[in-house]
Amino acid sequence: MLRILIGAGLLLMAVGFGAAGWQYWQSMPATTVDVAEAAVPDTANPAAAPVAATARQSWLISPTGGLIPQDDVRAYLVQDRFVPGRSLRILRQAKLSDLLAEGEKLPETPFLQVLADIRAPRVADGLCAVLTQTLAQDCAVNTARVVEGSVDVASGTAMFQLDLVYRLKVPDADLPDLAVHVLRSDVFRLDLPAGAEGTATPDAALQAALAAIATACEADGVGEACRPMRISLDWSPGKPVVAQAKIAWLDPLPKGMFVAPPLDPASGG
Amino acid sequence: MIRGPISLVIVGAIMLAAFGLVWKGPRAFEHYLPERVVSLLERGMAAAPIGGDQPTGGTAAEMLADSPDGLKALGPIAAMPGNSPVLINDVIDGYTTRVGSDIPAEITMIRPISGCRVTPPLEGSAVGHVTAGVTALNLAMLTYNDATLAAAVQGFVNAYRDGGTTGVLDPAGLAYEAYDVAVTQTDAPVYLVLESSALNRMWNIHLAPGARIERVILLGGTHAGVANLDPVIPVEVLPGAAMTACGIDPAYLPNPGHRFFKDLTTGTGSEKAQAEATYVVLQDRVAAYNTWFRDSFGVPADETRAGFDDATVSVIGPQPGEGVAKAVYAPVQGSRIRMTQDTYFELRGQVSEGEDFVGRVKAITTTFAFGDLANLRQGVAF
Repeated sequence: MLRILIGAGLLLMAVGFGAAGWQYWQSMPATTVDVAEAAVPDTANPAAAPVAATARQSWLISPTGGLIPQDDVRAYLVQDRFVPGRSLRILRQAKLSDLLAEGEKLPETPFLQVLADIRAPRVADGLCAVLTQTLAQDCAVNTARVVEGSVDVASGTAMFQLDLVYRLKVPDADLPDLAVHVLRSDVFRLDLPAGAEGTATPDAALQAALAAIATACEADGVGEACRPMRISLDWSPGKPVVAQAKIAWLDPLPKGMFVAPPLDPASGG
Repeated sequence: MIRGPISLVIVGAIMLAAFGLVWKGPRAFEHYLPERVVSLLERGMAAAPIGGDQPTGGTAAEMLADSPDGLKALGPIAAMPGNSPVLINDVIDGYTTRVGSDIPAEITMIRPISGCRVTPPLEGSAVGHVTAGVTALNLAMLTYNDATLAAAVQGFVNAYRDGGTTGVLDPAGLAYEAYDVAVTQTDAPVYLVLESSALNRMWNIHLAPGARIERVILLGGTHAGVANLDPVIPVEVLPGAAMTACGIDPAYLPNPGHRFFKDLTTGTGSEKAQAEATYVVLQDRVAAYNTWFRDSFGVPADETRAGFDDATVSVIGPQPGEGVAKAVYAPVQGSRIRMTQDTYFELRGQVSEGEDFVGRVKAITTTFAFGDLANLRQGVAF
């Protein structure tokens, strides 16, 4: 009996320490080697050096010399994955009947709100396609919820708050040397009157907003590598469409400004 | 060699029992221990507080706490008319709070009255007025409607999205909560006015030999019922929503030790001014309710009420003693019940699987999620 107890204890210890060791091994920074390798200048191909340098820089400064918050830096620079700061928020109205499968009927009134909440991702269908047809290489619905208390039984509609995230089609190689640039940003607003072109559907409104973003990025005063970050859009049938977008671009360092790598972390990171 | 594991099992069992006692109180063992032992444990725990305003003795008065949250029964006491305390054992024989699994023999659904006027008491009858707070004596009867189910589905969805849990919230709040009324008045028919603040209330009537009930009026709450009442005695129900619609606003002055009076006497500047203003409004509400009560039943509400804010029994009639018999406890188990109900009614443990509250919530959620709860998941891994 004693042997069994000791054996069981040893087995448990082996499993426990084994699991801990495996976790430790897994958490070893595999990137350490990669980073160390990347930090060595590529003497064979000197032209590639600036690209590697820009890829590694994870901070940006503002025109006044302050650090850009990390959320914004990631939203601008990190295109190999989704980040919270690069999003499309849409507040839109939709018919409850659009949430139903074929042959399905709407439930009793008390259940409409929760049905709309559960099936809210359905009203985001098509929006990612609009993004990927224009500026995004990838897109996903992060959250989709019905707005509390927005179910209108009489009209059979509800308001939905959708949050999509996306990755831009821009390659990192397009970026100039970040160490000699500052990040500038601006927020522009697009107002489309009711009935105007681009207000018929949420997809059309988003297309109009994205076209306006492209135009804004080409405007005078906007520097290199202009990229959209946060986009918002309000759409309801027969009502004016309001879109807002934060765009950011790189400008050369102002004269007399000297950039030193930060010692303190930027806010938000 | 085998003594080691046995010792471990014993220590584990003791720790589990202690945890259960601390977590759920003596009632955690009501299915395993005799009622007398459970009551003894309850009394012991009530008399040996960890650090509160518990009584030091065993008299009824000492078991009534004039607390900042209201009048609280700290031991087995009942409320007499005028809210004087009396030991439960002195007014009712065979009392128990083990009602959680009681199943009635007959349930008759009744409807609330239409309009705002209840039938007044006959001349010569005695009006007994009981007010009940929260008792936590949940019965095995639940009632709910589509709105309740929809709210539970939403709660289920939120929990699933937040943490991937698939448990439905305990529908304890949908259960009828029992409150016991002991009637010791035998010299005249008793017209009972039973007033509740709980969502769903079940009044359990225990009569002393010779006690007669003329009529029962159930005020307040969402749904209400009465157990162990002769089927020929009329019952009228005026739920809380109907009372509000009728402009009836039950109001009583708080007990002297209530935190409201603390603000009134020792509060500073704006706190005191606000408490004074609230007090004036409250006095007007109390006066208005007294007027309605007197017009309806012939007696003022505040002077006649029998019911603490936290207790389980009220007494209508004199304290039993010489010439006055105790009431006899009548269990909910096997009783006749008349009650208002919502769209759905279930006896816990008596419905087939999937047709109870939890089953309905899960079925609705699954249907709305196109047959797969995984469709509820949202959020991108950043």
